[in-house]
Amino acid sequence: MNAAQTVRRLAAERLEVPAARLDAANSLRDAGIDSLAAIDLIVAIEERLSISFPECDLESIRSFDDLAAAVERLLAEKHTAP
Amino acid sequence: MRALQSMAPFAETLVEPLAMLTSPLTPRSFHAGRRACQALASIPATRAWATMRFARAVLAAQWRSALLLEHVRRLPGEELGAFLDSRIRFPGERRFLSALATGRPLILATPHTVASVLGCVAIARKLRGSRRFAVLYQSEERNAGLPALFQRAGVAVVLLSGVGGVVRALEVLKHGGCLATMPDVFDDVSDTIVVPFFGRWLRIAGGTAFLAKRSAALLVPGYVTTRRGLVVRLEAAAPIDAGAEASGDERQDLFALTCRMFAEFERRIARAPEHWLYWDRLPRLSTPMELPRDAGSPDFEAAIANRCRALPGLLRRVPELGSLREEAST
Repeated sequence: MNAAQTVRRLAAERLEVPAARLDAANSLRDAGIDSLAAIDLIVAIEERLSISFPECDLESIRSFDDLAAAVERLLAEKHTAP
Repeated sequence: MRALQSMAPFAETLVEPLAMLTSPLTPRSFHAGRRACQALASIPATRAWATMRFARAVLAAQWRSALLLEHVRRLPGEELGAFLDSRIRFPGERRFLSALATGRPLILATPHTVASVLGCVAIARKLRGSRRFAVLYQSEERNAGLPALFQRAGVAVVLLSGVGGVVRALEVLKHGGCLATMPDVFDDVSDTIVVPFFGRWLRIAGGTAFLAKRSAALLVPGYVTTRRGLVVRLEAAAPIDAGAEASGDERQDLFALTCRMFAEFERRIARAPEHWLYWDRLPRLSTPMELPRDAGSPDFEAAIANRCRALPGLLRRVPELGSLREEAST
């Protein structure tokens, strides 16, 4: 499962909706994720994948694509870290 | 530098006379007290406070607090701790220490006052490294000087801001830490909770209640003001147990927690209203709780339009209100 799929699956779990319902939405807000739900999602991603988002990165995340890109970068950094 | 420091107690005695002398000559745009009075006068619950005397009291409170803050910033590190310990009055300290002794995560939430930051320093000194302490405050640009102040006061504090700051704050709390925050009056209209405040519906961020609920923290509402003699008064109310709000509907719990926190803020602000910094924002970010009784009257439509402006979330939830608002504006 790639980062984009993981992010959407976790979002679906948090929102308690089928993952397919989130497929059409790219914007987090369009998917019904407000700021508190976004924080909830980020915390869930951090715990599930053992990563930690830099504070500054989180200010610019507006969509599933933004989130997936940030996750991919952090996972890559984690795997290349000594 | 020494001369400036020794002048602070003398300068403080001039605060009230200066506020009296300059008030009639200062245009409203430069006079925080007169701006506050304009707001107070538009709100039935606070109208009686809107006097010239109150306007002067606002100026005096802000100048005294700013003077004290500046004095503290200039004090040498070795004197700073002793100065703060001798000047901080802490009604509710025993209650606060009892809450700390439970070992549970703790959030101190205070309305914005000039002296709020000194309250944070005082709390950090009480903790003295026994718990991780974070301050969820404004952006880094507006935090200028704070890291240095905490460092000179000999306390380790994590300064946080924004969405990332909320995520890190939750981490601190989940590990049993303490957090100080100022959740009153929120400009971003996208995600807000609407709670009663001085007889109005006020929109504010739900982040503090969210953090308290998710970490099962004790939420302590407080209020930080200054008094004559360069004294800081840090009030701490009885803790609200966020873990006890468990209706089964988290959003309802956040609303209930936020209502309780703001009811406590209201009680404390009402006792020393001249210290609260955001009176002038209140009319714009809130709307009267009561609507005119006659649904067909222009007053009713204007009230609905006003409510939609102050609480934009209403239109998202009840789009039909948009047509009423348009009718009122034409």
